[in-house]
Amino acid sequence: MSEKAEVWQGTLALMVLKTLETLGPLHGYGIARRIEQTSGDLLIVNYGTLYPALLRLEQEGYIVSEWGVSENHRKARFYRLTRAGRKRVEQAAREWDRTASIMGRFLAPAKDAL
Amino acid sequence: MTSRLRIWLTFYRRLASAYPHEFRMRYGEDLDRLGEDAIPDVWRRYGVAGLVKLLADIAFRLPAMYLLEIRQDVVYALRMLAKSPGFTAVAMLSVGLGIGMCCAVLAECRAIVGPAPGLRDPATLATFFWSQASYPYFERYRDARQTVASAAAVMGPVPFAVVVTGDKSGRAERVSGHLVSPEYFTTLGVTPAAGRGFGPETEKPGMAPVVVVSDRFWRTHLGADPHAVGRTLRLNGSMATIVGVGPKDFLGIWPQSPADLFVPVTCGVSLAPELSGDPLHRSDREIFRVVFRLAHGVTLPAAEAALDALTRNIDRETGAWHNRDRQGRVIRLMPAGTVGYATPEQHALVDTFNVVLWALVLSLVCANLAGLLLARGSQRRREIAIRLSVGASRVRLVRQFLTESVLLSFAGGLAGIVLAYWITHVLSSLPLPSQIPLEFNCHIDLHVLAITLAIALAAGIGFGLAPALASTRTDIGVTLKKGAQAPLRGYRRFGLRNLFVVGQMAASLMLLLVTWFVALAFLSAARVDTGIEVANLNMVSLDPVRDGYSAERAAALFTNLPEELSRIDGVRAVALTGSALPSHGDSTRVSAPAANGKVGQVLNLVSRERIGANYFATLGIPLVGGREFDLRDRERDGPAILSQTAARALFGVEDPIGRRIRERDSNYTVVGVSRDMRAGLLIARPVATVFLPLTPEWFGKNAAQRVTVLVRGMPGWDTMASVRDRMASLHSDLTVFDEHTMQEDLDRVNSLAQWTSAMYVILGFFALLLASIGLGAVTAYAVVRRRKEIGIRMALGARARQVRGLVLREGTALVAVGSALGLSGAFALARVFSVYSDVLARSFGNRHNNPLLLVGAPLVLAGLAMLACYLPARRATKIDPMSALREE
Repeated sequence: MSEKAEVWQGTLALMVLKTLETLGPLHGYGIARRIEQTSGDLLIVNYGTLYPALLRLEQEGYIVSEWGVSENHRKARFYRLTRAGRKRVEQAAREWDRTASIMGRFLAPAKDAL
Repeated sequence: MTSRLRIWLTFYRRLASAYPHEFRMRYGEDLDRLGEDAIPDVWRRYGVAGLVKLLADIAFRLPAMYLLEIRQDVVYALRMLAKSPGFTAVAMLSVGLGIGMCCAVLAECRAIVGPAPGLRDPATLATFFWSQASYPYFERYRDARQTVASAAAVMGPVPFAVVVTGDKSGRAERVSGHLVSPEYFTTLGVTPAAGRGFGPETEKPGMAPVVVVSDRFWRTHLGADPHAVGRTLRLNGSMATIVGVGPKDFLGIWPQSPADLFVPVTCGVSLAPELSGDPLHRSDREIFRVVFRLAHGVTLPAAEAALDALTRNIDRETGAWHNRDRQGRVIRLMPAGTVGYATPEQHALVDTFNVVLWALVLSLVCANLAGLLLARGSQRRREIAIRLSVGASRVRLVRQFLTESVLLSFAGGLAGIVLAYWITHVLSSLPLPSQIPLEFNCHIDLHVLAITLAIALAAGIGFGLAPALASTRTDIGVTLKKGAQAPLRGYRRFGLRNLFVVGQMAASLMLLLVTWFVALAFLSAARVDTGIEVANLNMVSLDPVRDGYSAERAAALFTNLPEELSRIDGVRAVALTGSALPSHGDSTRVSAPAANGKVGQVLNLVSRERIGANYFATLGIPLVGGREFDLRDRERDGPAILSQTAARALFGVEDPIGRRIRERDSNYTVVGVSRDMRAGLLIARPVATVFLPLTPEWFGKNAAQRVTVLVRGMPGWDTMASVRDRMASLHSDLTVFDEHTMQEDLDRVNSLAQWTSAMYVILGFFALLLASIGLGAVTAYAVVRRRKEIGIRMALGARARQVRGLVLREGTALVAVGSALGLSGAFALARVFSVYSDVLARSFGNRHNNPLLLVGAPLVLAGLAMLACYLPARRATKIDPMSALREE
């Protein structure tokens, strides 16, 4: 387990939103499993921070929740992306790209530096 | 799911159920679902470690969720407080002002009872209480190494006629100093700023006279000369070399009588006439005050016992008991190292006053808080009901109110601390009355600050929480409908609102009155009321020996002087006195021998004054019985006059006139009884005094004493100018000094006490402010809450004037009831205090203080309350009735 990384707090919200965008409405556990799978099982979701993150996202208006029935026929709360959430995901993806390219330039071997 | 996993699931559910209530309401089920789904999966993939991590994640998140809620609480609390700025401001002001005042009252103010500057470790210094020792005895005390680390003998204040060499005018100036044993500086722990101090090796009889000057003298008279050490001064006609300059601020052991020159006792009689008759080797000249530095770990009572035993031993050896009373203690110790010669009784009295005032002010603060918070809390019942009905838990609500109360109290407390520091800073920078040439250091006692803060915070939190706790148990439905007007238990007319006003008025008035009583009590205790008629009474001092007179010539001078001076036009009466009053005085022992089969009485600690003929007439104090001293008194047993207290103590109800008394080694016949004069600061009971005559024999033995001439002039005459002229023409070589009026003399003594009393009066005004704030706020609040009712009345057709009149009438009734309660409460409290302390009792019984206070204070508070009724009512009648009806 040691080579797997903890999901950083701030990025968890982003991953949740992206997962919901890609896969549509999911319940809590489903979101967590999906995140782990997407990372190729290299990430472990901290279940303690999952629901607070969901709470925050709901307060900020990026997701809404409603009761539904899960795969094993039990009542579960499903979370769905809102339009504001969709916009947020796109904006965040753009920001990450930019950050990654800037950092890449710093961290890559200096080709044109001199 | 296997049973093993079920255990984990149970754990998980337990943890999940610990989450905050509101979170659980929304996501509780979901969290449980998560657990049910995740646990088998995690177990399959990661085993036990994974399950542990899962539970740990949930568990660690728990405190964070609560903190989040607390943050919400705080933000909400701040919003609520900001929404009623008046209430918040008043509450904070009350707490802040109260805490600031309490700390200032009990601040460690260094005045008379504080340590003198420049001394090392003043707490371990001690001295004899009201008695002096002879030099040989002092030497024995000094060598008692078990008890006493070191000791010094001091005679002072001693006047020196000083001429600074190089001073062109060559005129002698009279400077006060101390005659000290060589151990003086080492005992006090004082290191000279320049040169050296004294020491037993360097100060031996016969050596050239030396002197150590104070820092102040060095600046004012020597011009801060860097080469001052080695210069010479002419002291009393003899040359002395300066060997050292004292450290800054050091003015001798009791700086209330500051000393600028320090001369060793080995200097010889030519320099110091006080040393005539070889007092250094005689056990019967008890003229030295002894200062002890107690040995490490020795307490004052232990030292007193040891020195007492030592004194008895020496007495037995020398065979001379110095008319000490062999029963009980022969000597008593008290702490030295204070600015003034303050007795333990004076210490205790000041402390008592301070503590009482502190308690009163704190009670006022708590009463204010109670009124404000309870009044406000009862109004928020509707809000609480709403929140309860939408699902808030009781715990959450109570926590919310707790947050508010804590925030408010802490903010007020912070303001209070700031105020306290500011006040002590201001006090420290105030100049003391001029006679005390010291800096006044005032800083906060941290214990007092902590206790005061704790009590104020507890009050704030308690009173803020109580309404919340009570409200969460109300019937929600009724409260929702009726809001703040929901009936509480109790008859509606004497509703809670009215009760608050009455309660606040009563509490404020009671505490205010008692605070002022106590402050005034201190005022009267501190004033030295001698009973002397001060108009046109002047004093001037003479010291012929220092001007070169011989003892016989001085005696002749004084015998003739009163008559010479009374022949001057404009002089009504003249008298001589050996002591300026009020003074520390000499303390002596007087006994009345047994007569008529009755046992003789002995009085210790009698104050002794030396006076001339016509003394009481000049002062304007009539004698209670008998006659004054007469120039023609030549009886074998000289005459004596006793004060009333002394006469009563020695002779009871019998007539003391004509009776014999014995003072020290002489017999006297009582010829008169005088009224008691209060002799000192904060001394509650009059001191027994014996007045002995100034006779030529006394002049012969005590030539080095100065004599004060009292002159009562006639109004409108410049009496003292005539006196000065006559003195100059008759005795041109005599220096006449220290001329002042009796009023100035009394002012000088009173100044420090009055200055301290001024502090208490200021405190009284602050208390008034505090009471006013609390009362005004509660009353205004009560009226504001009637806006709906006022709106209804106006909508139904009442005129503004009628409504205002109604409010004012009710207000008057409440204020009257409150005042009555407050006054009776004040009397009851005063009675309690009187039992506790004599001085307070006397002040409370003091007739002429009361009327002004008893009428004034209620009037002021009542006036304020009426204003606080009127203004909101006026505002309420001006608004549109419809909006008043709609608001809560």
